[in-house]
Amino acid sequence: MKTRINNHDILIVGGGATGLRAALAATNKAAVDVGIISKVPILRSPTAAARGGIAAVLNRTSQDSPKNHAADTVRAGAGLSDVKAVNQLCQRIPEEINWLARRGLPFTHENNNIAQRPFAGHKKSSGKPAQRSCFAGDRTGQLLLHTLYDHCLNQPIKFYEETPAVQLIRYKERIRGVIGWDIAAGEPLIFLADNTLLATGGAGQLYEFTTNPLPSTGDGQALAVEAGYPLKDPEFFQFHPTALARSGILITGAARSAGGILRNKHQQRFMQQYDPENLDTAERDRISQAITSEIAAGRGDTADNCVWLDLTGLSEKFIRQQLPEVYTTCRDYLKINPARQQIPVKPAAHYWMGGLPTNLAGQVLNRQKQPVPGLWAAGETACLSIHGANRLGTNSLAETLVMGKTSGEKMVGRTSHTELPTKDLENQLQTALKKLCFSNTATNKVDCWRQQLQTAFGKQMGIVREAEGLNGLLAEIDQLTRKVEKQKTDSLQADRRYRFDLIRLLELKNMLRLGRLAGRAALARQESRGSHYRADHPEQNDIRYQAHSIIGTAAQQNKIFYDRVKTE
Amino acid sequence: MNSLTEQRIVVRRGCPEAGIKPYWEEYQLQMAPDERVLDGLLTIQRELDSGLAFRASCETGQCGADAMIINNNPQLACKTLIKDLGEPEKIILEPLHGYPVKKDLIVDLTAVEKTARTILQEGTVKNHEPPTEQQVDRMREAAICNLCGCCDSACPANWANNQFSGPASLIKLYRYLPLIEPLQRKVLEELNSPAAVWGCETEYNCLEVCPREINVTELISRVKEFLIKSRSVEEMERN
Ligand SMILES: Cc1cc2nc3c(=O)[nH]c(=O)nc-3n(C[C@H](O)[C@H](O)[C@H](O)COP(=O)(O)OP(=O)(O)OC[C@H]3O[C@@H](n4cnc5c(N)ncnc54)[C@H](O)[C@@H]3O)c2cc1C
Ligand code: SF4
Ligand code: SF4
Ligand code: FES
Repeated sequence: MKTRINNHDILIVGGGATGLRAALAATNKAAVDVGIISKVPILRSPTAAARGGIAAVLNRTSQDSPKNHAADTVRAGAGLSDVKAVNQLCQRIPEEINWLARRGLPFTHENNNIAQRPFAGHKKSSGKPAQRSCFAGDRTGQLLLHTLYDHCLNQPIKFYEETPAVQLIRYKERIRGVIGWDIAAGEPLIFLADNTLLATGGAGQLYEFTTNPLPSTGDGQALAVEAGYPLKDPEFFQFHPTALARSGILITGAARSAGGILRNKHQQRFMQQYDPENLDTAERDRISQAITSEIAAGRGDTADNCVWLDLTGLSEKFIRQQLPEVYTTCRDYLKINPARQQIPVKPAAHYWMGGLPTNLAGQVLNRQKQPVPGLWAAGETACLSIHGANRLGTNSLAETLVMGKTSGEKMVGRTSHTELPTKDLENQLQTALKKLCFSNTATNKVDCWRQQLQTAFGKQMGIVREAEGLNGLLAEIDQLTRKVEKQKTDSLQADRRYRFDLIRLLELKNMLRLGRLAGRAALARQESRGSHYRADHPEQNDIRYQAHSIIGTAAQQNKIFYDRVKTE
Repeated sequence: MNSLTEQRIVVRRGCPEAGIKPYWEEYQLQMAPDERVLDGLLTIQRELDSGLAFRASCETGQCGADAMIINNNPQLACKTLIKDLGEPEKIILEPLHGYPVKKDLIVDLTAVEKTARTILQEGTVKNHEPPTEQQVDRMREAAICNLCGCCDSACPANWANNQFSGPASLIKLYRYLPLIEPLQRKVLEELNSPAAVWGCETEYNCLEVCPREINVTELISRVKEFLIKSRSVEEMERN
């Protein structure tokens, strides 16, 4: 075979916080050889965009402990959080914070200790805000990513940057690696490994108005679905209440926790009507729904469809020190000073709670809830049901670290003894390459189709959903899928170096696949829960739906299976 | 206010590995003054030329992917609004200087990683006490560097002296100084050469272009001070 083959004990697909933490955990545990492939250069991974912080109880008191952290997480999850997974997260994350501090992640300090600030939904036993968020200004993600990466550089970890995974390699019910595409060279690469971890992040690019970086197109999830494994709870997308009205640039929730107030055009603090107890630090689903109602009632800005975040009660010095990115974002993009002027904001797609079902170790589960040999998932790609139907801010980075580490360690020492016949591999490679074939004339259409999908998805899978719209969305997705498939030609283009349009095509196919399943699950769930709000079914219905949606093995695209949550 | 105007975007293209010599390509498109240069590039890719190569990820100035030369200044395309450029006749985009070009606006930045590789040798941080608050505050001044490469691209010493590691590497080094004391001697040897810190001629360009507003020159001066104070320097000079 002409195509180069790279062998590793462990292959990690994705170099965000999850992938890097997993790699460090594996190499620390044993002398294993790890390969990491990433669609974008590692340091440009979406984790770099995370702002507010990482939740952890560092000091146990009578008022706060990992138990309280777990209770808050479960409450926010609206009946869909897995208590065991949540406990594992809350107990293990404090140790991760100390581990990072020792490796040079310069967390913001106070009195010679790591400072911690409150974040919406995190509460002490007394009901007052708990200070759990560990942060580095409001650039926590970028500092985290770089710290992890710097420490990976001297480990037996080989990086393949700008090399997206195109397809999983499967042999005899076992995942044996992936077929990747080297963007720089414009050629396929084969990666064989005993264990493959999918850590490709979220899929917020399904939406037109999103805080998610460009690479967040759900590739890992889509490749697993394509290989015959299901998705869990794909209808649950979280909307962040405060993104800049025109661009979707995130203003961290830490701004509200520090005293920021949401106002409508009459300058009313409207959260008083919706949640008088928690006000502007209510959980994200409630605030996003409240903003949507205000705008619908004509109390928002008419042109930009937004409300305002008022930070004028905070001093400029405080904002510059604790929320530097809020300050520079307002200054550079809006030319305003947030200590003096209010910020126009509205909700944007932010986090995908759904994903690949896994067990506590990070092994991907098939429809029979059995681990798929050789296949793992962690971070935003996985759905371990820590966040249930709605995620608490700062819990996601916590998950990337704890589950990155856990899966990294657990992958060590599991070997496979089956040889993969060359002919079989060659066939799989040919199928994979077909995905990147299309005619020259179609290249410019790919991004237009992507926009069409994003617009439709944003409209129908947004904060408020109803049956008719969802049916329309599914029809549109089918239509787009047919258009994309019709464009197939038999050969790859001649000029292949740095052809990002090939990657966009791959991403579009992945997003169409996931969008259809998420739309179907949203249509089938005839209730409202957490981030999923159905205007035609506004009540929560525990009898029918306190259950996870499991959908999308290749053979049974449309069938949804509800896996009931065990309640103690 | 936000009406569309015609913009001429001229891009320095080429792909040395494929034998495509550098050339200029001009695109015309309608843009609003509030739009970012990156929006223009994405529009070009979507509507005019799907083969144009550039990097982008976060679109909000966090990740450092889309550093390029915009009308002679190294900056991030996602943090540069059309109206920030005044009203130039054309918007001229070039790949960053000082790094090998891969294709069009994409350069190879991997050389910068060498510093981290050298200073974070295995064992560096083992058994090390966590840094103090004061140390951490100083580390954070440098750790917000996202390795965009703008400073290297603007640094005259970096162009003139191909031994000089460039400011970005020194910022990385500064960040970890409190953690690497156990390895001081080895690191000092690395540093105390024209290739490292003494290559900087304190010309301040780096600080002017840094999109993260890091006081690059000041931090490099602190590395120099650290070196001067340290006795090992004298020792090394005697040898
Ligand atoms: C603006 C913003 C702010 C946020 N702030 C916070 C916060 O303050 N606190 C918090 O807890 N959470 C926050 N989140 C959520 C959190 O940042 C993410 O959930 C988390 O970083 C995801 O990390 P990850 O490692 O799972 O994936 P990512 O960081 O998304 O990394 C994905 C990796 O996979 C690679 N990849 C993708 N597709 C492929 C492919 N086909 N083949 C190979 N590689 C591929 C990418 O190149 C990348 O390296 C925020 C999210 C956003 C968007
Ligand atoms: S101060 Fe030093 S590093 Fe910065 S531009 Fe000048 S010579 Fe280069
Ligand atoms: S110091 Fe500033 S300009 Fe230089 S690489 Fe870092 S962020 Fe970019
Ligand atoms: S795209 Fe991330 S900094 Fe511009």
